[in-house]
Amino acid sequence: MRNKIIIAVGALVVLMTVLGTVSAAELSGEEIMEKVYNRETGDSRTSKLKMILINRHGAERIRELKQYEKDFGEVEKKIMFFISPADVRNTSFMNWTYDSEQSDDQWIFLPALNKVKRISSENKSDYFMGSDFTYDDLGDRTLAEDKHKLIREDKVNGKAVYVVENIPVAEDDLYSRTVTYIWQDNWIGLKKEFYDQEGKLLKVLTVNQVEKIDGILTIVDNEMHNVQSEHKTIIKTSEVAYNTEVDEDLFSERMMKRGI
Amino acid sequence: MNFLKGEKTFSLTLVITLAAAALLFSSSIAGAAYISHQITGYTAYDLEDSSELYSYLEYELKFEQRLENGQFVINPKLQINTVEEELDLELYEGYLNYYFTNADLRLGRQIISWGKADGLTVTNLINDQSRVQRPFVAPDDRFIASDALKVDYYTDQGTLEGVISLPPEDSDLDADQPGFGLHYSVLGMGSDYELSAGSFPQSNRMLEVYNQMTAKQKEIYQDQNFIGGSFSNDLGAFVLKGEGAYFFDRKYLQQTQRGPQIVENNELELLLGVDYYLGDYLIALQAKEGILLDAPANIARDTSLGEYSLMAQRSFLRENLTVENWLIYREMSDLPGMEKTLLWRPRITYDYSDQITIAAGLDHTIEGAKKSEFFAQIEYTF
Repeated sequence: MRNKIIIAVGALVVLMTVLGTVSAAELSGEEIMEKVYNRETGDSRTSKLKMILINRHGAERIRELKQYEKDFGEVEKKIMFFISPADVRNTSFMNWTYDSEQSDDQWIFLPALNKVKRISSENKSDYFMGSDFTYDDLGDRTLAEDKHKLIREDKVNGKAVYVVENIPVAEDDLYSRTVTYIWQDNWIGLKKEFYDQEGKLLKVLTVNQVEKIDGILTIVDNEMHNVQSEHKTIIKTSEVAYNTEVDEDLFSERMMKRGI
Repeated sequence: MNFLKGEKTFSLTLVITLAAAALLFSSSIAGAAYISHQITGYTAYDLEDSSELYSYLEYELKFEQRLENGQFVINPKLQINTVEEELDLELYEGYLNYYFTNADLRLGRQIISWGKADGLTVTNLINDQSRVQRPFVAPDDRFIASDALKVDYYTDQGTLEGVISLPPEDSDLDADQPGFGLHYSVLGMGSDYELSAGSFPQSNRMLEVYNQMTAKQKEIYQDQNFIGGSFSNDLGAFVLKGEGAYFFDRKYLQQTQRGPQIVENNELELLLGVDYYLGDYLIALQAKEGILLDAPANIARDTSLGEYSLMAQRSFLRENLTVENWLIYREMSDLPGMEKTLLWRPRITYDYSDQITIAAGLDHTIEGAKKSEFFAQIEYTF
């Protein structure tokens, strides 16, 4: 009887190992990242963001903004309205991203100038509003901009993850590589490491809280830590709504000037 | 110390009226209200004469009441000029916005910007610009708000805007005719454009010179009729921008045997510029050319006059520290008080915290009438 139990447990371990190997072997880094990029995020989304910028001395700066996004098929439009602090209130930023080769269109409305100004779309590696997030980090990056390789499986906070190395195709990219920890259960990134052009660890992105909102898993609290400058940015997302009525007129010069 | 300059009393009345209206609105209409305050200390020093030029302390209130179908904004400023020992209360902006389904209406004191250029002006003609000679922190701080009615009508493609503006109260133009204009603007895939036409009172240096030469007291402005447009294009790391306008019957000085006289002539103004984004750097180059068309003989101006600007900007410390370097070259007519000028205008701005911003800069002429003015400013927002 004892031998049978040992054999059964042994067989189970072998089976699980084999299944695990098969599962991992079935998916390449490219396929895993494709699932991440194609994860259901709704056709439209509205949210309020609170960005807490913390410097190495612990001093905080807080930025609050309201964001609207909608996928119109061939073009994805996003508009952000800055709510606070007072010196940036009523500033707005609009971005149109195209499925085609067409470069993004980007505009900024500065209330002091009372003018909507077109800005270059090639600033994706710039830091957004003095935070530790670049425009790319905030979701503007596409699957084809990196080569993806599954390097191992691991655990983050007790959750099984795929660890995928992403190497930028462009040689002049801000990062030499990034390493993404993908939650196996639902294709959401739980952690990401960013390495500078010299190969040294630059930043670590940690997801602190994920919530299911309108049936869609949503990161509501994450933190980017620049380990070289000891600067940190926490983004807390609230008032999230998916697939609500978002009029195309919202993504216009009128709304940039009008504000919310 | 003088308490409130006489010519500003209308502003005071307007401030009180609008403040009362704001209170009425805020007490009876649901919607968010935003209030912020700003205290600014500014001093400018003439390095040529080693003397203090300007020094003031300013308190600015920004009140914004969001209404169900609109918005109410009031932005008064109280300024203590410590050099002139004057106290001045003015309404910088104060207006009511009302939103219809396909149109917005804005009534009140406001600044309206047309065109794509920065600092140089071709079609941005609605608001007069301050002729106070103190160095400004940003070039666009020179605009003076006008009392105006603005209606924006939204089509599927763009925005059609109509403006009727009263002569600016706080300007020294003393214009007595209203301005009016139409403007159509489109933001689109890869490029934006604007078309504009109108007639607005504009300062004319030629008229000032004519007054000086003839000891006459003619007005120093004219109602400037124009038709024009502008564009901006995204070319990857570059943004290409341009403006052009055809000015009808602009007034010029003409030397005749009977002495100086004013003649009218048409002029074409063209501007081309490029913004180049390179990491933390922004380099902006603009060239503007004013070309006289079929100019009469002995007109006291070259057929073509240019104005050029080069700006290099770099941000440091997560965009909290910004350094700007402007070089502005202006060709001028060969007349008294007018000289070709090459101005060097460095600026440094440090956003110390979300509440405190420090700025300093210099206006220094490399060529032209000697001028070297340094300013320092500290702003506290709460």
